[in-house]
Amino acid sequence: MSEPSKAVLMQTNKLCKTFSNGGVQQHVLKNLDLTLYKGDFTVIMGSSGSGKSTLLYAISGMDKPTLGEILFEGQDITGLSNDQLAVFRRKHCGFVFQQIHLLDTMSVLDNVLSSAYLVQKDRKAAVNRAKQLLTEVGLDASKWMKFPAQLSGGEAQRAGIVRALINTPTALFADEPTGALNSAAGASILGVLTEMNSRGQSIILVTHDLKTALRGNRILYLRDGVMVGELQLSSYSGADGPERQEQVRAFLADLGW
Amino acid sequence: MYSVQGKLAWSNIRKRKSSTAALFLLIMLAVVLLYTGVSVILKLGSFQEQKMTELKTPDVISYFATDEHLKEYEALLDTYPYTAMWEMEPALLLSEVSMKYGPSDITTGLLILNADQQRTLAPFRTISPVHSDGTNLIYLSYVFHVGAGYNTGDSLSFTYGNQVYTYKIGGFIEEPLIGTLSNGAPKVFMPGSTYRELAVRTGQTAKYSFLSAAVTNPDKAEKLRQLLREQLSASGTSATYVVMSAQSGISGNLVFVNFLTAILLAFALIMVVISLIVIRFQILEHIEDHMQNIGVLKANGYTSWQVITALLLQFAWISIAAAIPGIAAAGAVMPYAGNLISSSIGLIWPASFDILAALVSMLFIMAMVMAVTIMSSRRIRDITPIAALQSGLLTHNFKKNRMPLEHSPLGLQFALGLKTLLRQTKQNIMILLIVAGLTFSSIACSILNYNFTGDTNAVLQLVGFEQSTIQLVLNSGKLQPERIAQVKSLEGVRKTTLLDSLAASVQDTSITLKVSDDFDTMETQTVYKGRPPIYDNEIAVSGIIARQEGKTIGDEIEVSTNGVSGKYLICGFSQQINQLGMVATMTDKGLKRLLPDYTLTTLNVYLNEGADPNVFTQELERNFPGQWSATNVEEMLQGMLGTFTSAITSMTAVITAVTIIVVTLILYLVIKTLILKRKREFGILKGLGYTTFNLITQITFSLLPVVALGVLAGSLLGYFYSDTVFEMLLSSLGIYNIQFAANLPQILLLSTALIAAAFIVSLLVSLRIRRISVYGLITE
Repeated sequence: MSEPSKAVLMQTNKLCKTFSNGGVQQHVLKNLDLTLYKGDFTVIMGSSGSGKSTLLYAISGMDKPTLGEILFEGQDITGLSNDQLAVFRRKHCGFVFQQIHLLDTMSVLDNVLSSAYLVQKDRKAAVNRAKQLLTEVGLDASKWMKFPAQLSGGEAQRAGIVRALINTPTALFADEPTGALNSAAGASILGVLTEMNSRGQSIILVTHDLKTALRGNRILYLRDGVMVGELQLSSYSGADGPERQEQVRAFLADLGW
Repeated sequence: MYSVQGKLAWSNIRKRKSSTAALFLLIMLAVVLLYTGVSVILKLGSFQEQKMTELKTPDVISYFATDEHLKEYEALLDTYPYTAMWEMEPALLLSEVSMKYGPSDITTGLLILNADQQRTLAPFRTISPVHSDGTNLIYLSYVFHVGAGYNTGDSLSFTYGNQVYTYKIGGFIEEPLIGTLSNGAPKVFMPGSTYRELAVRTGQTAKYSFLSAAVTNPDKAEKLRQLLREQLSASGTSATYVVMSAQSGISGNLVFVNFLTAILLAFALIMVVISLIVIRFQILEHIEDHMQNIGVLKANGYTSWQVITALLLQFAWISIAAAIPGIAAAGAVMPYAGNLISSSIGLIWPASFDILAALVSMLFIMAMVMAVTIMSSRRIRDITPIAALQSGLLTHNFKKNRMPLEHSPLGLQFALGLKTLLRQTKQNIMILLIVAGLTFSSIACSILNYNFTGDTNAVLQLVGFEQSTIQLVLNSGKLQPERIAQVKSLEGVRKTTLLDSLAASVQDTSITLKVSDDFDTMETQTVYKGRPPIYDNEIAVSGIIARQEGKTIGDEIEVSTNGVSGKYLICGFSQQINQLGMVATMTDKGLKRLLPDYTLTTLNVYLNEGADPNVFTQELERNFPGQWSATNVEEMLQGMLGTFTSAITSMTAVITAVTIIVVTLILYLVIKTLILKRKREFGILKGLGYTTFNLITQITFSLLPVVALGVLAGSLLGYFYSDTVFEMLLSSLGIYNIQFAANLPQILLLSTALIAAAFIVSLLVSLRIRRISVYGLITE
C-alpha cells in the first residue's frame, strides 16, 4: 500500500479516538495505522459518521487522540500540550473548513494576516505574500478590505485557502471544502487546491463527494473508524476524467459506498 | 399566554446562569446600601425625638461656671413666659482631660454630674448591665462603649491638671444632646461620694452649674437659649459656658451621620445605576443573540409587548429574588451601621427591621428595573419577523475595518485585542461608565479618609475652629497688651491671635459672633466669598445666615447682643460646620459699637513646629502661676476628629471593597459573554495556531484599555470634583467651598490597584477559554 519512493509526511500507530456521550462510549477511530506522504493529494472518504473528520482533526493536532501515536515528520505530536499543539499547527498546518470559518469581524486581508503575523516576522513580506496569494486564487484588490459576509461563498473559501497557505504549511488539511458551495464555486476551489498540490503542497482532504475525491492521487476509505480501502491514482490532470471517475466509482462501489 | 412568557423568562435565566448570578449580586448589593441609607434617613429624626421623650431630655441645657450671676439666670428662667420647669444642679467641668479613646489618645472635656442627685429632667438611668461593685465608679456616655470600646467593669483613667484619675466604669448612659465628643464636653455621672471626692480634688475652677429647662412650646426653646447665651455673655465671664437647645444639640450630633448617610445613599444610587446599565447591556445582547427566536415568536403571532413581557418577567424575578436577601443582608449589616451611628449620636441605634425602608428600596429598584427593561427592549418593537429571522445578515455592521493589520505597528495580540475593543462600543461605554463611577466613589472616599486621618487641615477649616496650638484665657483681669507680650516672649511661640466667641442674634435667630482684632492672621479662614471684616461697620456672615435672611454682600444686616442692636455691612460670606453654620465675624472695633467697654479675652497661641504644648503650658504656669487657663486646642480637635475616623475608615473600606467586587463582577460578566459570543472565533484562532495565552492576552487587551480609561476618568473626576460632590452633600449646612487635600500618591496607588485588580480578574476569568477544546469550538 505504501510508496517507498515518497517521503513520509506522517504516520499513525494504533490511533484511537473515543467520545463519551451521556456515559456511552463511542469508539470513532479504532487502532488506525496510517502513513501519509509528502506532496500527495490524499483524500479521505467514508460515509457520515465513519470518523473521517475526527481523523483529520486528530492528525492535524486540532484534537487529541484517546490512544495511539501520531508521528508528524517523525515528531510524536500526541504528547504535546495544547499550547505546543497550537505552535505546531501554526508552523506546519493549514486548514480549510467546510463552513469556511473566516473571522467575520475582520476584512479578508486581516483574516489572512492574522495567521501570517503569528509566524512571519517580516510583516511587509507577509503582506506582499498575502496579496500575491489572494490575487492568485482570483481575489483582486477590491475584495481585500471586504468582510467575509460581503463575499460569495466561493470567494470566502478562496480567502480561507489563502489563509491556510499563507505560512507555507507542511500540510494543508481540508474538511469538505466544497460542502457549503454551489457546484461552480466548488469546482473553482478544487481547481485552486489542485494547482497548489501541483506545486508540491501536501493536501489531506476529507470529503464524501465523488467529484472532489477525483482530485486526489490517493484515496483512503474509512468505515466505522477503520481504514478499509485505499486507491492509488495518478496526479489529477483533467485529461483522464471519465476513466478516473470510473476507477474511483468502482473502488467505492466495492466498498459498498 | 403569560405562562409561555414565564417559560421564556425562566429559560433565559437558566441559559444565562452566571450573568443572572452577577446581576443578582449587583442588585443585592444595591439593595443592601439603599435599605441601610433609607432606613437611617427615615428613622433618624423620629428616633431621636422618641429617645428625648423617653429620657426626659430638657429643651434647653446649659452649664457655666458658678458665679455671682446665678440668681440672674434663675430669674431669667422664672420670667421667661414659656418655661415649663427648670432644674439647676452643681456639676464639675473638667475642661481638658486626656484619655484613651479606642486606639487614640484624645483630649476632651467632661461634664460630671452627681448620679445621686434628684432630678426630674434627664434622670440618671444606665443602660444595663450595671457594675455596682465599689464606689469609685463612673457612668459614661454610650459613645465610650460603642466608639471607644470601653465596657462595664473596665477601668477608665484620665489626666486632668497633671493628675491621673482612675475609675471603674459602672455602666453607660444614653444622652441625646451632650453625649458625644463633638457637642462640647460629654455628660458623665458619678455616685455621690465619688463625685464629692472629685470635687475636692479638682478645686474651684471645675465647679460649674448645670441647668436643665423644659418649655411649654418646643418652638420657644431657641429663644430661651438665645436669651441665656446673651446673659452669660454679658456677665463677662471668662470661663467656658455652653447653652444648647435640644434642636441645635440634635442637629449638631446629626451633621456627621447625615453626611455619611448622604455618601452611602449616593453610592447606593451609583450601584442602582450600575445594575441598570448591566440590565440594559444584557437586554441588548439578548436581542442580538435571540433575534431569530424573536422573529419566530412574532411570526407566530406574538406582539412586541408580549415578547417584552418575557424580559420584564425575567428581570422582575431577578430583582425580587435579589432584593429579598439584600434586605436580609442589610438587616445583618445594620448592627454595624448602627454602631457607627451610635458612635456619632450617643444613643443605642435600634437595629429593628424597617418595613417602610424595605418597601421603598424594593419599589424603587423594581420601578427602575422595569423602566430600564422597557426602554432597552424598545428595539423589539421595530423588528419585523422577517428581519429578525434574517438576523445574521441584518445585525452585522460592516462599515469599518478598524485598525487594519496591514498598517498596524503594534504587536499581533495587542492589535487584535484593540480591534476587538473598537468593535464593542456599547460594551465599552458600559464598562467605562461603571468603572469611572466606582473609581470616582473610591477616590472621593479615600480623599475624605485622608482628610480625616492624615492631613486634617481642610476638615478643621470646615469645622471652623481656629487651629492654634493652645488657647489661653486670663483667670482674672483684662487682657492687656503687656500680658500678650509676656506670652509671646515664651520659648516656642510662633505667633498669637485674639479671637472671642459671643452670643448674638440676627432677627430672632441665635448666632455665634466671632470677634478678633485681625482676621487676616488667623490660620482658619472661613470666609469663602468677599473678605473678612476690617472696618468697624463690617460683618462677614455665614452663607446659611445670608440665605436665611435673604442678604448678599453689600447688604446691611442688624445684629443684636446683650440687648443692643446695630447695623453692619456684609463684606463676606463664611462657612463652618460648627454651630451648624450660624456664625458671623466682626472686628473688636465693630463690636465696640454695640458694647463700648468690650475687650478681647481669648488668646490663641501658635507654637513652632515640633514644640511640645505641654512644655509650653508648664513654662507658662511656672512664669505666671495661676494666671492663665490653657486648653490644648490641637489635641482637642484631633480627639474630636478621632471619633469620626473609624466611621470614615469603615465607609471607605466598604466602598473600596464594593468597587473591587463590582468591577470583578462586571469583568466576569463581560468576559463570560465575550467568550460565549466569540466561541467560534476563538476556536478558529486556536485552530490557526493561537495559544490559549495568546487569546487570553487578546481578551485582556480588549478590556484593559477601557478599564484603564474608566479608572483614569474616575480618578481625574475624583481628584478634581470630589470637593464639588462634598459641597453638594454639605450645602444644607451652608458649606459651599471645600478644598480637601488630595494625596496624589494615595490616589495613584488606588487607581493602579484597581487596574491591577482588573488585569488579574481578566486573566483569571479568561482562563475559562483553556477548558474549551479547539475541536469543540469549531465543530459546535
